[in-house]
Amino acid sequence: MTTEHRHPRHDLDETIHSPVRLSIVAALAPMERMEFPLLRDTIEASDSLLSKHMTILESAGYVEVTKGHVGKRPRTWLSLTERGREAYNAYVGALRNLVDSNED
Amino acid sequence: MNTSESSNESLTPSDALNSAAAIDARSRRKGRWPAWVWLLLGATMPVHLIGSPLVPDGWPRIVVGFLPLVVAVIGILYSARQRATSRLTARLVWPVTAGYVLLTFAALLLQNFVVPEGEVTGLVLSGLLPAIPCCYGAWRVLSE
Repeated sequence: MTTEHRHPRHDLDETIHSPVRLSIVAALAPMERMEFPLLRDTIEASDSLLSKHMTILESAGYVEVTKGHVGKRPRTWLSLTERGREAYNAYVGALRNLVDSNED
Repeated sequence: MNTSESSNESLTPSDALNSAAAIDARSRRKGRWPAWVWLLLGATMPVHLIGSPLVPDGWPRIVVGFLPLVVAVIGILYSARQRATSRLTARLVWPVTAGYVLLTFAALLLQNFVVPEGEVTGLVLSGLLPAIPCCYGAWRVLSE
């Protein structure tokens, strides 16, 4: 396979490829940071499912998890790293190329 | 986007793009709260600046006098309860706050040293100054 005729699907980042992980990065992309329960509600996932996929994204260096307290309440804030943002933009670009190549 | 794992294989590139766009939009809507705080601050400071010299003594003057303070405290408490901050808000919060504070001082200086006493047009125009950065910030956030 030459790089000139490389199919756009090869540009899809496997880390983001899962629908849940795509939802997570899509929800975090416009945000500086978001609290765990709000992200869970935004992407309509369960706590355990979100935790599982957050671990994968955190391991890849795409998401940063910050724990803290507001008053006595513990809170978990999630944000997309610069690397995660670049990966998401590249993934969306690859998806657009796929859609365009299907239309041709 | 259907977030169940079983939908992995059924999501077409077009579906995935649409889902990502829908979630992005939903996420942005949850980060719009600063617009309401800024609009409230942008409405109450002019009421204070324009109303203070015009309202009669007594409780109306007390209400108008304390209005910005009460709204600022409500705004701080409301902000502390929010669970998301958008990137746009993070970029705008300091310019809007700085503009609001500076223009409030500018309005006070104008009203005390420049605008002749009893001139309502000058009072109203100078009193509206602090609303400018608030309205700009709110417009940017709501139109994102």
